[in-house]
Amino acid sequence: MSASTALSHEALAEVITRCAGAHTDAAALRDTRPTFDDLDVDSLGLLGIVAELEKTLGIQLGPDAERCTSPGDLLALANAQLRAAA
Amino acid sequence: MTRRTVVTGMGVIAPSGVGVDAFWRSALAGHGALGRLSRYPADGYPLTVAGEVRGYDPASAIDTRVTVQTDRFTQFALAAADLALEQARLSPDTLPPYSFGAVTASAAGGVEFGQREIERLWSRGPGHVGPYQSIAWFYAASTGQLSIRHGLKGPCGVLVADESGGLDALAHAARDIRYGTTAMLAGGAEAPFAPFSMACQYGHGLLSEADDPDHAYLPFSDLARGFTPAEGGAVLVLEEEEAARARGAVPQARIAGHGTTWTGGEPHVHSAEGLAKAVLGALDEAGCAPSDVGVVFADGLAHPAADRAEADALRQVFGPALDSLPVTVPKAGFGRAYAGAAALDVTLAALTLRHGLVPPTPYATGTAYDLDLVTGAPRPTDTATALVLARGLAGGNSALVLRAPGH
Repeated sequence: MSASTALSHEALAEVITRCAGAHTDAAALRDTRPTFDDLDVDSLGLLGIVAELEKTLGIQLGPDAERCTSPGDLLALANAQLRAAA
Repeated sequence: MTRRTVVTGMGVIAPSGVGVDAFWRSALAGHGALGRLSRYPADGYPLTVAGEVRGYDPASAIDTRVTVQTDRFTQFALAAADLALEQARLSPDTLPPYSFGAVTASAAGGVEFGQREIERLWSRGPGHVGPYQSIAWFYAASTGQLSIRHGLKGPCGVLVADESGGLDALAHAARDIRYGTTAMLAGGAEAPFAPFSMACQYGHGLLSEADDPDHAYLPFSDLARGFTPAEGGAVLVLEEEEAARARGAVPQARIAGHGTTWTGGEPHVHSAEGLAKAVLGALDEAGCAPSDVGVVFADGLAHPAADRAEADALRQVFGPALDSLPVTVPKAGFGRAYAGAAALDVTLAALTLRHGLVPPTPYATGTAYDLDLVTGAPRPTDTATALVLARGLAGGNSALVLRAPGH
């Protein structure tokens, strides 16, 4: 698969900020590796983030996506799914 | 001994002003804040004049993690509660967790949020409806978000009975305090201006279809043609009087008595008996005689039969003394904010008792009824007792007696 179809830290940070209102950026996700709890993103917030990613990435992420406890885990899961779908 | 409930903080977000000081100054000036409805394109629809909160975004007072999951009506309530707590100088975390609760009233719920999400449903499909739709449009959203924001684990509730529900919510909170709770956030706020929400109301015939703000909402006038709806509202900090005084708070008024009845939405003539019974119940609970009441904040629906019924109810209770009892409808200046209207009226009643001035009925030049309607300039008063009336569009009739602290 090409790098352009992978989910980037930048794109994930934008979705987290827009859908859950938790301001974050790629550098923060990379460097401090926060959990969703650290960001005060609740379960409905995560649901909205996953739904938005599924729309923009064009794949279903599956039930495990909504159980991810951190943006890092979600990023890894999404990129694994993208590779598998490629 | 009886536990008494006092108001120690008031937070207001109204079309006529944000914060108690601006709201009160505007009320005393009889300022008219009605204008062209702008929350959605209203041209071609019956309702074009409204009371809108402009120049203030409640989201500015709230964390974005909360704004993404709340409708404007909840943001109004959260911002108003912050103002009330600030005025009361009360930090909820200083009280034991189960001794602080919240009761709000709502008539519209989260209709702007709801309309946005439902538009996504029919235009783009279910996958485009955000998960926060599941909590944002509920009537109970404001009470829930207040509870979460301030860690309130005491009694919580929400009442849905239009404007009468707004008075009932304050009485409900006072009852919680009588039963042992130390403090309550109580009140109501609305943001009803979504097209589908207002379209649902074109049938009841009570919305003013005037296109001129100066002549849109004229309660007790022979030109009355319905009410002008508004957004906004107020949240009050209510506390048990001794606990409030012990922490050095200054009680601004006391919730002394409440009564409520239900007589059905139509015809309005029945609300005369219902309102009179509610007033007598409220006076009885307050231990007051009708002659103790020095000012009435009327419901003022501005529908001829409803105004007639309210005037008749007041005549039944007060008899000839009504001729010299000041009656006012300050919300004529900023609109009727449904369940938020009652807490705004109670705020004005508390300020009237404190400052000795009855705010006038804006836009009004007189009355067609045998009432002493306050118009033009504010009216001086030395009364310690105010009566606030509210009816609900579905037939509730409520009355609240407010007394100056120490009475």
